[in-house]
Amino acid sequence: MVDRVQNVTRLMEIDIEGWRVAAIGAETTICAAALEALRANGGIELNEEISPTEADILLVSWNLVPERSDGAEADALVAAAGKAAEAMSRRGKGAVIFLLTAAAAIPIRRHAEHSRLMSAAAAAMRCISMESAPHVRVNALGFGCIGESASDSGDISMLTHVPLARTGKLDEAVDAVLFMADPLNSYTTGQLLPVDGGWSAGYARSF
Amino acid sequence: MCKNGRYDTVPLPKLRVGDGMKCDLNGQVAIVTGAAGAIGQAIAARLADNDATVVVADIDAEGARSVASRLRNAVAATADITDMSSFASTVEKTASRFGRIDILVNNAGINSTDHRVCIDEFAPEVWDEIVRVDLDGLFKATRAALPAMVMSGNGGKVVNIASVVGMAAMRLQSPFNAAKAGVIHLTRAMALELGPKGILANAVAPGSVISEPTRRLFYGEDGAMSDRVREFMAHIGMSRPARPSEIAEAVLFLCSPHSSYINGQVLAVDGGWSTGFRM
Repeated sequence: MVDRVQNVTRLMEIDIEGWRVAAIGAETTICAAALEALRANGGIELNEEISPTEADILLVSWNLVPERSDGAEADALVAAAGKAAEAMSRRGKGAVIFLLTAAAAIPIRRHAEHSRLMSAAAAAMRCISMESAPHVRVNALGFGCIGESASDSGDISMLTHVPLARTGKLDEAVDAVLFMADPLNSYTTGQLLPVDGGWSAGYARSF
Repeated sequence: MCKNGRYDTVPLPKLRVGDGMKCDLNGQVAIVTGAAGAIGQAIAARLADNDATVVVADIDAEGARSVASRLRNAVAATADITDMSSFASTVEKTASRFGRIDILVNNAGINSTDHRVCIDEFAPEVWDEIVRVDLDGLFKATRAALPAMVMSGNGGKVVNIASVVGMAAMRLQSPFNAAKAGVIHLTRAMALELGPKGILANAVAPGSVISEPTRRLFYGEDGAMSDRVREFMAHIGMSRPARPSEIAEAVLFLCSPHSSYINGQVLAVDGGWSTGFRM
């Protein structure tokens, strides 16, 4: 995973010099790469001894491979995200970014548990955004098939309905995280932005 | 910020300069329609800041010239999106002069502020005019630009400026609601059809946006919001309108190579207006 994270290239630049960054939840390739990119843009990663409520940018990381979905920690993760957003609100700035799959937008047959978890997480994100406005932005990304054979996110069977007819690259996922962290992207909150090549846009097959 | 179930409105935060995202659009050619308006010129400026060559297209020739003169790498074009042959001429001139078209931002649009009535008495001619520009015009501009974009083989980006009212309807502006909902679904159809050709289509749905001419409508002569505006803003998480630059930041991202796996999406940049019900 580390090698792949270091191979991420072509990232855009944002200015978050001095912003404290942290991640909670599942250890995923996308989350690790996003943290690396936030550091590269001036973010200061909090060490594990410091509470994530001290973060200015918090990644709330969910398991992005449907088969590995586990709802056991879901409530705790949402609660931790809410607590962090509340602390950011008191300090007057911050961004919380939920890392979900595109199943948050459209459920996937045979992945009912994962779809339920993603949908619930998106609803929780919206609630937290309303509670922590106006100074904190809370948004979500919904990843489709990311990585070769959808190794980082999604289910490879989704690919038959992706207009771009390819899986997404790790840097494409990370760039979307940087966009949501961008301090000048300051009027976007409570939104779920799928990063899925158009999988959730409609019916991509011709008939 | 929540007091007794209501929300305080907040002033516009101090403008931060120079800390927006940086994307490499060097060598890319963009056409921005409605670029003499507040949102359009903010979009044109962000694209130009990131080294794109920008065609500042507007039906207002003088306005387009004025905006283009303030930007580097920009030229003005007089263009009417409701006249496909006129817009095709703009496309042809752009392709001929710069050799390519990579980005089309369909920003031009209208609404009626002095005709806010219920649909049972809405004037058909006003309906026709709004739909003719906002939906039909967007199709015609896109239809005119696509052959050159497809032929270049470089792929491309179409970003449509919709509106949050295309997602959640507002009273007394039925044609604007319908046209913008049409733009949103048209964006998805474009994404499905153009994705295989390497052209990505997405939409940005702005909420309430303030510009210099409309600032007094929000903040009044004394800089304070009226009760009516405060009540309206209470439904928006950010409790304030957007600056055009905040809409432009999202458009820049969707025009950039960094959003190359985002297709057919509608991003509401609305301060949380459409997020949920705020009691």
